[in-house]
Amino acid sequence: MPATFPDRLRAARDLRKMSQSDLAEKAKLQPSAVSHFETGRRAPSFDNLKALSEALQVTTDYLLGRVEEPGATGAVVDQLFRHAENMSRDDLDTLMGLAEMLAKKSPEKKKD
Amino acid sequence: MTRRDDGFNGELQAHEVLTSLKIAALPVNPFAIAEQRDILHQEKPGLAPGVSGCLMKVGDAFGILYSSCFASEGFKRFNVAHELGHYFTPGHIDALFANGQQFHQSESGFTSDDKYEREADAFAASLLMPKLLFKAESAKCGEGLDAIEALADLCVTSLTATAIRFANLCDDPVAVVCSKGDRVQFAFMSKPLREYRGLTWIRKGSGLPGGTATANFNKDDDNIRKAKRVRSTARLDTWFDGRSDVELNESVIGLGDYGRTLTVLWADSLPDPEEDEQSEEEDDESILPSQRWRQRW
Repeated sequence: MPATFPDRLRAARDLRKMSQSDLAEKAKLQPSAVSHFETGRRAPSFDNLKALSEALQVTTDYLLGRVEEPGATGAVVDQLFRHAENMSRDDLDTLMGLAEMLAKKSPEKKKD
Repeated sequence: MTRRDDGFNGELQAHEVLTSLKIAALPVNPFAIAEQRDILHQEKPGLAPGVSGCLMKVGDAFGILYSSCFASEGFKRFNVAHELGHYFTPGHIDALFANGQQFHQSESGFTSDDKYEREADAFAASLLMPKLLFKAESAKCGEGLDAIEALADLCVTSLTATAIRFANLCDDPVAVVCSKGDRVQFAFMSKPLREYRGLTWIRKGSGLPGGTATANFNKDDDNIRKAKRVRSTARLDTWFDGRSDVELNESVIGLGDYGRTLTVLWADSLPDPEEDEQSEEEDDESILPSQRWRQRW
């Protein structure tokens, strides 16, 4: 887990003026989960990450420390190709098609 | 962390997902679970060799691209369930999407040495074949390959994945062996067989024992391609060393396009093992003949 995740989670929770238990309830997590995430004792799953980002109205990329603004998302296409050395052109085209669909699907987050 | 821990984590996460979604009946539909989580899924007939699927994250949206290189519905479902394993299991974020990568390509099918792939395989098997439901149905399905085929129909899972789950959960002495040509691809043994003293565990990459129904079956590619089957018997010591007076059932089936052969070896029970000093020594895990063949969960 990126070292920034616990800090970003705490910062986003402060931004939304939510207690750990408020956030846990809104994200449908165990009451102790948020505390464990913020102290780094427990690593989240993607499912946890998504639930937290929705509850906090920030992006998953912000919680992961990939972008600086709570509502921003990282670049996609360049990274997708850079790490796809082993895939065929046809596979990459299919991945790109799916990536485009996902990019359209990714909800806009409120920017603060 | 051991391979057994990987299996435990996968089993635990799958159980949590099934419980949270109130899924308590077979078959479990991984596509419906993906949709419930708003995860797009898309089939791709010819992904790169060895790649079973991809989990992709773009912004806050997730997608699964899965291989359908084999016609089996069970194969596709397992691939999707494997990707869901990456999605639901804590700790996979950093490992799979390191350095800003937006997708992770998977190698499912019980062959990877990577901890995260093994966890995702364990998750997929546990999601599609939940322990309690699977064991309850196993009790009604008879034994050996017949039971595995009935369970595969019930769970809509591939014969291979079902056979491995069967061996992992079975209370009888059972082994499943996947082979190609004269070589073992992988093998799984049930707990009673693993704990039976004095046996040599089947090694990945080792040669099939000569003269067995499986070795003879694999001499003709048509047997595999046309999914033919044979049923025979074998002595325990032919496959595992140990006692020479114990007979096992040996069912063999060709896996068609998969190009491999599945063998199920089983007995209703085993007699007390022969006592010898070497067996005592082999209780020490550090000198087991093949740690690679320890059960993954």
